[in-house]
Amino acid sequence: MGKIDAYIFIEVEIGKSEHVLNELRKLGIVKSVAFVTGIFDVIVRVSVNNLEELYEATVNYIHKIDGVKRTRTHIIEKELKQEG
Amino acid sequence: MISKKFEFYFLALFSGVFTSFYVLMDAYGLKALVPDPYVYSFLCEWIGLITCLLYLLVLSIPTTIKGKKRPIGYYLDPYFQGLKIPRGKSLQYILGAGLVASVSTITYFIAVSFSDPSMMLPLMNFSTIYLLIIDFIREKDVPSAIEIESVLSVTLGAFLVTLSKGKIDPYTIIITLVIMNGCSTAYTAFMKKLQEISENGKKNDSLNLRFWSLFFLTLSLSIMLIPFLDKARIEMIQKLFFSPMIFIFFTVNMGFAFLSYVMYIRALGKGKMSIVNAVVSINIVLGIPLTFLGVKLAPNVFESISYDAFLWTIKIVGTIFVIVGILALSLSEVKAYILLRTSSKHAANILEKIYKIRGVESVAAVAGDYDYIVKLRIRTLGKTYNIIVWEIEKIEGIIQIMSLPIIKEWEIP
Repeated sequence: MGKIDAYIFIEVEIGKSEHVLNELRKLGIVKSVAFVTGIFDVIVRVSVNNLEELYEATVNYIHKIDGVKRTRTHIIEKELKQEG
Repeated sequence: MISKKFEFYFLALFSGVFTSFYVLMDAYGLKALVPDPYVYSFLCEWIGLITCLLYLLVLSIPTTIKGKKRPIGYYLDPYFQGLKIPRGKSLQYILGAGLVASVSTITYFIAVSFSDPSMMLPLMNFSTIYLLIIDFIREKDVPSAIEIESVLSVTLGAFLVTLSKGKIDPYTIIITLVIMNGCSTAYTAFMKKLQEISENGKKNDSLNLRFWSLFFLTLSLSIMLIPFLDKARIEMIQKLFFSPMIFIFFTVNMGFAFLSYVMYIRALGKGKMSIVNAVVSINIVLGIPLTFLGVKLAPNVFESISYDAFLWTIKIVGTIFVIVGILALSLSEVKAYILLRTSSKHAANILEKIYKIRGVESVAAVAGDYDYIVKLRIRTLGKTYNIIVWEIEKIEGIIQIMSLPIIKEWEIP
């Protein structure tokens, strides 16, 4: 079974970025966390074994982090990536 | 989680720090312990190989890290899974790396024996420029103007710092620029290639790469040294090889070399060759205070430092060039996510088209609000803009582009 990778875009309440970052770091499926400027504040990349796990992580973990206003999940169907 | 960029500069900088340690130890060893360079290098490589094997065996001891069974070497390189014999293409490249390293070592000794070596060290810094050209040729990895500027600044700075008074000898210049620099460029290119290929789906780790390239270096160097080993030298090797003092010296010396190479090879896997080499040049600047320390600790071994005002002005200017260049390199990187929406009848190979654009690190076709998520890694925001507007807009079917510059990023290795 291949892994499923997804990007989760998060909109964060002002002043809660540090807290959200620290909570996200505790999540085992997280591969990278990037603070960005624009329509979202944080882009998280996750790697899960199945969609159930992704659902659990978003609905039962990320949505419950204090400071998370809104999330948008994008599941990766195909990817080209440079090594390293 | 640590920032990927931080990791890259950390590895390259510390590779430079460890290089300055073993270069100083080499200078001491050649003057105080083993004055004959042929005997020195024979002992250094063989004892180095033995200790390197010992280090590798110790690093192979399994331990539990984050709930998983992993060798201790995981801390030095996450891809390390114990000693393994290289195969296939990897074996060819490692063999190549070992060979070119031994050719440059032997060339150095031969050149030193008939000419003035004072020009060799400064000119050897120019191999970074060769790497810059190779980076240029490699299609996906074109250096930007600021990178070229910074790399040139570091290279010229390193040239000035290492400059000393001596005769200009055309043979030395040609030998250094062609053979020595050619070999070191080839070595770096082989190591870069080794980081990119994988055998049976497993990536090459820097610890094994260091050990096996040292293994082939030692073998081929030993063969090349045979004509130079007369009776007196062989006796000296026999006597010194089993001296505990010499053994400890080389164990420490090659320990620093081991760390330096492992970090260098890992950094090569993460960034451009010319930039890694430029950052490692910090060892030349660090060499100055370390030499002062050497003079303090062992005044009879290290010649006292000349206080020629002209030479020092050049050294200081060179140091500034090196530091400014490295800072400019490390501060100039910009990463961004680009989100794309496409129309329903877009071209089929859009993924490939985006991936071909310079600066694109990854591109993912996604299901969700947007259709594609592109990750860029470039040098300046101005260049990002050009990439977005000119390259992505040219692709048929893209109807909306949203760019999100990354302020800070953490990654799990």
